[in-house]
Amino acid sequence: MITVPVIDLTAASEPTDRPAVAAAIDKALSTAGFMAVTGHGVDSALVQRMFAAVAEFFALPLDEKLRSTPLDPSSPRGYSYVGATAQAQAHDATTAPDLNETFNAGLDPVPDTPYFRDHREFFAPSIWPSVPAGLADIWSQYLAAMDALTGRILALMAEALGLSGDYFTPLVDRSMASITANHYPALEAEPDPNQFRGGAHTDYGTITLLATDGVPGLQLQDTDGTWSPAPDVAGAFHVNTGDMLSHWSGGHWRSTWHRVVPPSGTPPFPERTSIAYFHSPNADALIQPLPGMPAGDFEPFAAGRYLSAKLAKFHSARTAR
Amino acid sequence: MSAFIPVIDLTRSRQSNAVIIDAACRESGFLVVSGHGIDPDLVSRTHEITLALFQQPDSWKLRWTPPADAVGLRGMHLTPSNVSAPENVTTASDLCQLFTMSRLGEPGVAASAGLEGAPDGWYSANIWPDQPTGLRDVWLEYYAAMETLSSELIRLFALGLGLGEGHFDEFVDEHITNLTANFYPPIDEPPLDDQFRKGPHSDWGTLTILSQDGTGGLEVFDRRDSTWVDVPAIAGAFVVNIGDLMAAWTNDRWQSTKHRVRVPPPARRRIPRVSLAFFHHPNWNALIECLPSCVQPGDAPLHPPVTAGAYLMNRVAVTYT
Repeated sequence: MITVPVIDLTAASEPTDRPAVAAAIDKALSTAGFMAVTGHGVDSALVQRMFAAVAEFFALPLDEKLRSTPLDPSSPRGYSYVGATAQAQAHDATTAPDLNETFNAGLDPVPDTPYFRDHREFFAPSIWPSVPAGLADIWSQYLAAMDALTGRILALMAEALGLSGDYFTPLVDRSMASITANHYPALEAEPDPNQFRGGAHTDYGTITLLATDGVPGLQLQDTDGTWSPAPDVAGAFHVNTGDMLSHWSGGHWRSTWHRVVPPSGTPPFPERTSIAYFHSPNADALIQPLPGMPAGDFEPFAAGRYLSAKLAKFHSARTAR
Repeated sequence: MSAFIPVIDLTRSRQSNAVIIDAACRESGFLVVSGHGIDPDLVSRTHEITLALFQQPDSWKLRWTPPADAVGLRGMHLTPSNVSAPENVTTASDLCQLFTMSRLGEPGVAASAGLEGAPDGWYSANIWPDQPTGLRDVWLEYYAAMETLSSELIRLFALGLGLGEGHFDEFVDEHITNLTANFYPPIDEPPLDDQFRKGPHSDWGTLTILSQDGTGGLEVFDRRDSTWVDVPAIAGAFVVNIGDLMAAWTNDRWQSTKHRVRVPPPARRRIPRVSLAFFHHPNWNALIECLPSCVQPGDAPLHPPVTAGAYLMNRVAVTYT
């Protein structure tokens, strides 16, 4: 049974208390790989506005939403309908398509510099719908708030690993971050055993900041293979280790398998919405165990190459069924 | 007849026709096809019954429009649409009504047509008005005749591209073609300055086989001198043009050329116009990638790979929502 610690960042603003917060993060990520972060300073009104805007988009008729599908099947941007993808596919597992629809967007506008041109696959143009009209604006506000919170958390993480607080800055200052809004439609019946709201996966990047509407369903896999619920903590973000941060920590921090299932009980199941900010390093950041971390025989790689391979597998469902 | 839009006679040598097709598709992307073996009586019966269909009052035609939550084109489409929408060209609404069916909307066809990954509801049943009597039978007969003709044309295309004549077979054996009738009603009000019977657009798929009545008005863009060239209405012949996916396949060696239907001079605006457009589109899951023979080694293709279904779905949603 995995217990997800609650970490209050308020104390981290006191220099004397920072080491205790960093130690708590270290413990959370080395055991659960997940923590519930409170005291994060993100305006709850902004989060509410984001959920309201996303709800307005997902409530549109399907043919209206399909206007925001990407023409390039490898683009993660825009709208993806129910049945288009399966999370588990990025991990070579075969499940039925996930019972969710998604909308993804990232940095917009994208700066016109050699770095962003060279790595355009991670900075694909966003595909904004005409409804709701303010989606692009609220998206960029939410993205900025998540960037800022990630900066605070990464500083504590660096300190937890015995590094200076600004250690990660040059590795993430042109992050491949993007935001995916997930809508899991209401279900009249229990899904098939091989079908999930979101199939089992690990996240690919540095950390993920997840906000939900409070409908339960997130589950984490323990080292013995059993699944535990990760209950929502009111006002908190679920924060979890991604694959690349786990590699940076030399495997010390777990990139924990997780999935989304309907709430316990009997159908019908209510709809569920979550907003996931996936932080990733710079495309050209080198992924290898950081100084002082167990190195083993790890082969270093560029963050962009790893993300590209994962996304290609994930989106191959659209091209090669 | 100019070499810009040549006439080919399918009773003549396939090899020489393939050469003419290659030249025409490089220049205009349009040709006129005679000697096709399609029963002229079938063509006139289809035109007659379609004109009779559209000459019913709009209030009756509205009964045969799809439900609000339907996806894709089925039955009648009377609400103002703008076929130029995906081109980011702003024109006034097209002066056109549509009626559309697909083989996939006939009972039992979609289930075995390789539509895995398509959103639920994308291939809904055809909507057949109960008048005029025999509408469905005539249209299915015409659709079948167009399937036969398109198969031969696609094989000639392959020859024209220097490929084995069966090269495209595996991409089109479960084609998702729509047959659409365009009805251009009598025009009573003076049109707006930027108003067309159908605005400038390219077609989206493999090829389009168009049967016009004698009214005229179809124009093709000639990029050599940026003029619009008349496509003559030749009795008994079909106008054939290639679409975006064929251009993508050939890396734009072949042109998916913009065309439009202009408003006639005042004296002829009361004459309604009917055309039947068979929009041949490859299989839902056909991945359309640049043919190796159409790109220089080391050069990047001009278009990213795209699945035929995703492309059609996006274009329809953007145009007709």
